[in-house]
Amino acid sequence: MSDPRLPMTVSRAAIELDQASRGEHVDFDATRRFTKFLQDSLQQDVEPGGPHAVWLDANTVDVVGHALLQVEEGGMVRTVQDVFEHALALAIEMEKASATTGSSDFDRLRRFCVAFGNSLLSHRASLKHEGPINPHRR
Amino acid sequence: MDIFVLSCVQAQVDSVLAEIARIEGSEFPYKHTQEAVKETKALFETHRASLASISERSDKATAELACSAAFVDLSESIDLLGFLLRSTNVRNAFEAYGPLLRIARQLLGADTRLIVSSEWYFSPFTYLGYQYLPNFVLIGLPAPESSNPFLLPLAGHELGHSAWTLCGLARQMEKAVEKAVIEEITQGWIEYESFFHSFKPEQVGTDLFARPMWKPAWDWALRQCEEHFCDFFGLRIFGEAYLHAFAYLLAPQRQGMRPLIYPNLKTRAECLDDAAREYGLTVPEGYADMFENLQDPAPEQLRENLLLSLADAARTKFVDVLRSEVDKIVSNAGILTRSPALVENCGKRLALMVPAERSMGLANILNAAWRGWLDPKFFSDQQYNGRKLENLREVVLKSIEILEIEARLEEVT
Repeated sequence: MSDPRLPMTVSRAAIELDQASRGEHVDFDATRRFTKFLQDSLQQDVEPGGPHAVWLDANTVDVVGHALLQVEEGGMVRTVQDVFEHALALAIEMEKASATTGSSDFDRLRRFCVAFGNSLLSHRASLKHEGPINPHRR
Repeated sequence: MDIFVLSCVQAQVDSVLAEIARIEGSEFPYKHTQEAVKETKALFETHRASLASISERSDKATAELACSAAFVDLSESIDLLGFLLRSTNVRNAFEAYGPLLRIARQLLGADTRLIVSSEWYFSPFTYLGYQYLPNFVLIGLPAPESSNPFLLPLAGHELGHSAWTLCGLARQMEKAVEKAVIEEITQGWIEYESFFHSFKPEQVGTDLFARPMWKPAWDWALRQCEEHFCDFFGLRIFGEAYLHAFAYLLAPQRQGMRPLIYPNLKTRAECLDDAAREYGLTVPEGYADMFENLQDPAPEQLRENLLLSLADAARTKFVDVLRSEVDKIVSNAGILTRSPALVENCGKRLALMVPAERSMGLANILNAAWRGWLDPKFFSDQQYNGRKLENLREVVLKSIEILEIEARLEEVT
């Protein structure tokens, strides 16, 4: 989540999906890169011997969770497990959309990219006030 | 998307690219800065192309995200560009660059690139997470101290920040600290129940609406663990010289609020004291007593105090583990830490106001330097004791230069 290229990558993915939704020819380069990032982030970590609950790092849950709450229907995303399952499903859909010329719900995928991008930027902005600052600076 | 707003962002991106073109015309003492400038330029050229692809037909939210993404990179890269430009300034101790680069490469990999610069800011710092600058370590020292060799051990702390991520510890600790915070809450549920009043203990870790309530404690605990790790890193590489440099910078700090992402000051010093003994170093008597803890949040800030107590409780569980991890990482890298005999030899040369030869490592020179500082009659020739620090700095920097020359000659023979 701390990769500074990520906001630009997801923004370009949103642009590509927006263009595709209008029937324009798109190379889906950024969409593929964002999809790979998402798949890499969703590393399933299961406690041995324990209940089969997924572990995702707290920042991934924060950013992806907020994005999903914007695009998925009310009440469908409530737990870390829900975040994992819904985000994985969207990553699979994006992979298909960038690989085939068949119809895909480009608009839904674009909305997710936009929601993710805004969630990420908001998360970054919340980190900026933690360091010591000169009290004389305004 | 308001066309005016889009044109503002495009103009700002163009301004940054023009500034980068000017920086490219600077004289670079080593190539890594040039490479970093080139990578930053590529990032903004991509933004320029991205913004150019937005048209009147573009979805409004998509266009706004493209502008926001460019704007965030603008706001986060300007101080980096300043850092890169200042790395060319003669105020920096270029003599130390070669030895520090060798240490960085031994610890972090042969393809590590290092940039040392200065900042008009009180504390040494590093930049992390610029993924478009892979394998780069960026270390900044306070501008008035950027040529002060006595503070070079603090670069060891900053190297620790890069090691924290590269050695995979960041990821391990994210999970371990989360588990510790949740355990702390569920085992002390009576104390925390009113804070998490809408939730059951078993929901605290999994519910998306419960998690943000404790997440700041997780973040603070994780950052505090990282700071302990980095302190131990600097200590393990530079020995007692790190203790002295740390005290130089932070012991005078008595007032102000405790930054929540750091362990408190005296706590840090006490942990350094313990670590130094475990690493077989000699701790100055009363070392931790030189420091004072800074103020915690005011009692009426109930939420901050609760979260901070959670963070501190989680962090303390990992101090011993972090100390051992650092020892393992530095030992496995084959870093030559300070040798009492070589420190003694360096000291004898420095006391004659003669640069040390065959020091065999930066740690030996810097430990000898600090012994010189702490000895009021260090120089054999009394005439040098009048301006002792100035004279010591000069002869120490020359010793570091000789260290680098010897290393380069050894490479070719």
